[in-house]
Amino acid sequence: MLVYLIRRLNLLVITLFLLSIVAFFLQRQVDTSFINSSHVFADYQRYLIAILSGDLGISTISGEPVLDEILRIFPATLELCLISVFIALLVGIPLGIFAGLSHGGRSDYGIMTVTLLGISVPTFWLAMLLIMFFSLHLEWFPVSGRLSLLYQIPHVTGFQLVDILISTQPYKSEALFDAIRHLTLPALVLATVPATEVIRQVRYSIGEEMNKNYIKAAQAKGLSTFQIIRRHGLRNALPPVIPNLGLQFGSILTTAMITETVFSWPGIGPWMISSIAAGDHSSIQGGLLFIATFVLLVSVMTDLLHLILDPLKRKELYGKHEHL
Amino acid sequence: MASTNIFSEEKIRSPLAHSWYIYQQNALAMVALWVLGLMTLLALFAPWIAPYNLGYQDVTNLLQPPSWYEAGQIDFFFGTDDLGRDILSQMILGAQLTFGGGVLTALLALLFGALIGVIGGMSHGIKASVLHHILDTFLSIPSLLIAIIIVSVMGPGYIHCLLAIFLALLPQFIRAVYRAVNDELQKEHIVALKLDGATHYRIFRYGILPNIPETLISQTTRAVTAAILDISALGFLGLGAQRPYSEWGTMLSDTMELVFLAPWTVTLPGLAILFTILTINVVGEGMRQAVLRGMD
Repeated sequence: MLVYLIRRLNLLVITLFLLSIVAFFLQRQVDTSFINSSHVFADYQRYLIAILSGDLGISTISGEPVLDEILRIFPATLELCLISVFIALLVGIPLGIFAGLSHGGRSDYGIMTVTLLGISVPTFWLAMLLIMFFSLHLEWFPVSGRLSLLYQIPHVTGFQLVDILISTQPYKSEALFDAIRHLTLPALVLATVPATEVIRQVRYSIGEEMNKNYIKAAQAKGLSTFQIIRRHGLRNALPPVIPNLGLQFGSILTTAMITETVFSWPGIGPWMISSIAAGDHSSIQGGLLFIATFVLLVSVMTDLLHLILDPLKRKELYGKHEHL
Repeated sequence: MASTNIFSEEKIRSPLAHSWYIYQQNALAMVALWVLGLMTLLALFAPWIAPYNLGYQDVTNLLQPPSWYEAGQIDFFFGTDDLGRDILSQMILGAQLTFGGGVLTALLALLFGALIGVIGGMSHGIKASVLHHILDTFLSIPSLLIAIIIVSVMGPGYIHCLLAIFLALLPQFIRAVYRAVNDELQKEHIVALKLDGATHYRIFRYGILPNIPETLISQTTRAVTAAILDISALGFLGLGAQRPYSEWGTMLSDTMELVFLAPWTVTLPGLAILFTILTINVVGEGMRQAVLRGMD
């Protein structure tokens, strides 16, 4: 366990090190202060010390420190991601169970066809279609943005919903309703891919689990299907699903960047794209370092969490023959 | 009835022929394969098939609706966009960039990735270990994000975007092939081959190669669809192909402001992407099933 932990962290450090080298050369292209210095290694050392102390440089467009900008913007993206993961679980788990139980049946076939559509549709196009239908045609939801300009909510945590709930404005409930209306379409679009992933995994693991002997024993005891799923099936089928979702976080984040661009959601996506378009190398290197570090940390953390929570995975680790 | 078969031996097909036989039984997959073949032809001969040239603009027919609308004209079958460019021609020419480019990139990644994966999988010691663990961590960054990073370093452009996607897909192939080869190497039939004194090449050719097509197929399917979606996503974000090239994602990014005025400029290129990805997924799944059952 400890060996595994150390190795995992070691690899994380190596990968981050490689990333910092890429970011360094990106920064070096433009930063004139480096030209005075004599040696690449000396430059890199200075750069490494700077980023370790939280200095990602200063944006050449806005003149603000890059890290401050990222920290101000990133909660919006994170909020969107977390809510869509929640939606994906809410929709995916019941559908997955349903498909897994009727394995090979008509509803299984129907659900799997829908998931095939779900993984085949380009996110940005789905977003545009939803805008076209729900915002322009039916006028149910706003086209873009995060909150109507009528409401002034002080920026505390950066998470809009939390900020509204802790604010003391008289129009709190109206603002909350408005925020949810803005959130609905982007969150639904973003939830598509993780939801299909959840459906597939739950379907597979329920299908596996329901053929096992302890389920037959439970059936023989006279438990109803619902009781069996609630007490036995889910408890064994769900643990592999959650960490997989954690490992998917990277792709959810990238999809979020695209979705944000379509909906003009003020998150890291539009910020990165405009930085790239403007050739703001400080922001690009800061952004890529931040996003990649975040994704890597989440993936390592879910891995460790899975290891701590799931004894079966630990057993696998102990029993594995290592060919290092 | 008398049997005309004098010899009681059954004719056994080779596994490949048997898999093909199983594949043919799947009607949906066969249709998808035909569609894929037609799309390949379309991508190859796009400039000769498209009714109008790449840069052609008909300024008298701006925002012409598709031919099935009341106001539509048969001259512009799928209508025109805000600059009077024929949408059908753009989509046919775009097939070359989006579909053709995606398939080409994924196949190149397959070639190089499989090569490195096999070498890595069959070697031992520090080389294999470094390959394995570095890739493990690297893979937790999704391909599109890697592509965005690479494009942001090199600058936007279609060739840069293809190169970025190639580099982003490569580790996935290496890892998948590495895993498959490594798993296969630990089985008993390889030990038997080794005891017979087989060379590395023989072990690979007769011990490993016949047992990894399932991995290769599912990985290639995933890579082709990912490449097409990534090319169009980068095009959409303005990091991939630039105008006048009519890459499907680039076409879509132009039409953002036309959503209300001319919905067909949004729906048609998107449908092309969706249809392409669906077809590839169906073919890939059919092939995987056929190979799996063909091996039993």
